[in-house]
Amino acid sequence: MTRRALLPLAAVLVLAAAVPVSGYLKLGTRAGDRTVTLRWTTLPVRYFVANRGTTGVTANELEAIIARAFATWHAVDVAQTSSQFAGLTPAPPVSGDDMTVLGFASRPDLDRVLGATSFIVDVTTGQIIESDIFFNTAFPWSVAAAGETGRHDLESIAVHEIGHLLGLGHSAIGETEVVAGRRRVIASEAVMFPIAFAPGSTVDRTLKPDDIAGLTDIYPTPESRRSRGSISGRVTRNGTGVSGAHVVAFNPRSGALVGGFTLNDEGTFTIAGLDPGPHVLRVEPLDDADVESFFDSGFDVDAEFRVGFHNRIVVVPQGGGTRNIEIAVTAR
Amino acid sequence: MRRAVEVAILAICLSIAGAAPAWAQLGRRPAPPPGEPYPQRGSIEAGGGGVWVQGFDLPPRRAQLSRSTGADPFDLFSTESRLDTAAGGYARLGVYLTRAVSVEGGVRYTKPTLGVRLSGDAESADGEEATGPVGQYVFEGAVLLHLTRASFAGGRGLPFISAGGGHIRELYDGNELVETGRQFHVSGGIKYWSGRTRRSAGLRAEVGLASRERGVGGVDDRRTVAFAVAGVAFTF
Repeated sequence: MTRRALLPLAAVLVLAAAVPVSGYLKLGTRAGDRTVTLRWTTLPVRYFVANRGTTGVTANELEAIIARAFATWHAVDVAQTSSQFAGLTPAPPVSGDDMTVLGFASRPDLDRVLGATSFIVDVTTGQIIESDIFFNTAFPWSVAAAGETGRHDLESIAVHEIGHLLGLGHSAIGETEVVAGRRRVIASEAVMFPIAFAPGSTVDRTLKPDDIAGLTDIYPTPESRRSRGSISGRVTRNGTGVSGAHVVAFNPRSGALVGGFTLNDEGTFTIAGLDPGPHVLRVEPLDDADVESFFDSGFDVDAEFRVGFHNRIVVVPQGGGTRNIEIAVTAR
Repeated sequence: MRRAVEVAILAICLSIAGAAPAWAQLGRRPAPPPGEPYPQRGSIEAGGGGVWVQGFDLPPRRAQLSRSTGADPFDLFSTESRLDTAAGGYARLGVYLTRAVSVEGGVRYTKPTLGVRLSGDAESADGEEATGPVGQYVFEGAVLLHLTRASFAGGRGLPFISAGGGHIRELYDGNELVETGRQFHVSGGIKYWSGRTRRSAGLRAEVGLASRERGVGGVDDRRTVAFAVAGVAFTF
């Protein structure tokens, strides 16, 4: 008998309760003393769209936007994902009805949440059984092709939420600032960055290398298993592991940035789905978003070190991994 | 009497020259005419020594983050990459098609350092240079034209010019990842033989320019680098 558990996962401005598995992007859940990756094992993902619009967006427009957002992920040729629109439904986007539903929901209580994704998963295998996404009607939405000043671009947020639906967690590749007590994004290089751009921006309609690497890691094709590689190692300070450090692999040839985290007291990390070739590694403390955007509340994040670079070039092989990289950081 | 000897020698030489094609078919090589030292057509030249290859810069790259629609990207940090100048070794084997023209093939090996200088970090990380060695093989072939009319030191010194191409195979240290590319080169140099006999030893020095594409740089634009080789050579 399948054991089921409800894993709530908030998105754009709020936090995940699931466990990051592989540092950067994948979501996971504890299965005994191990962590398993959340993923759909049966494709295509069959989804419904709630038959309800909101100001400026009809249900049919919502359906079209969601189809485009799914197509953005499915267009990643080094990963294999697919989806199937099952129809409009009067059912709300809530968990537990054996239907994956995406739609608008009125949640004025969540005044910082544009959208959220929830799951029902098999906690022994990580298999996603159901996932639901709501877009909060407390915010103004737009489906304008070029975006619309003062309104959030529905497609950008849908791409982000569907990234969660496919099993991706948040990425930390971004820079933020605090304005009037609220954190605001200055720039990011991942659709899966937890904080959305200002209303009117359509930047997050387009996947970045970090998003693609994460999807490839979860749903690799036979070709990407052969052609892509990984980097794993430790981040240490005075010989002791640093937990919660953000490690970014930069490919000086392509300009691609792909991130990961150290996930335990040993300071170990793995960044997978990388193009082969030389990379440089940059390590920074997790200080550009709320820690809860990435980890369980009980996870101990060490941010008491200075941003730094690894002094060796790390070469990613084709279809393999470069291991035992040790990056030493210094205390602030 | 002396004149009779000279006539006899000349007759023998003419006889040898006329018989050369038949001897070649039998796998034998003719003795050179007087005043025309080895190497000659059919001579084999083997050699090896040291090589120096100039380094070159790779395209600079910024690690950039996207801003909101229409805004300039945010620079997280910048990189400047370079494949350093390196020394190594070479081995070659050639055959003379005529006294002036030879073809040869061989391999060069160097182990330059790939360096990526990191600077301009948005969060004030100290500048750093990440480095890693690269094993670089060039499997090459070339045609050499020996400038026999410009020989010196009694024919023992022989300038030459060369042109050829090769396959680049670069291997990152401790890693199975291989980068490949190709290069073409032109060069000139001098060979200095210890003697003019069939089996001779000599010195060879050569400088040139190589135009390479792909390889560690991974981009299609060509780079031209200088190289120099110096070593010993043997003919037989």
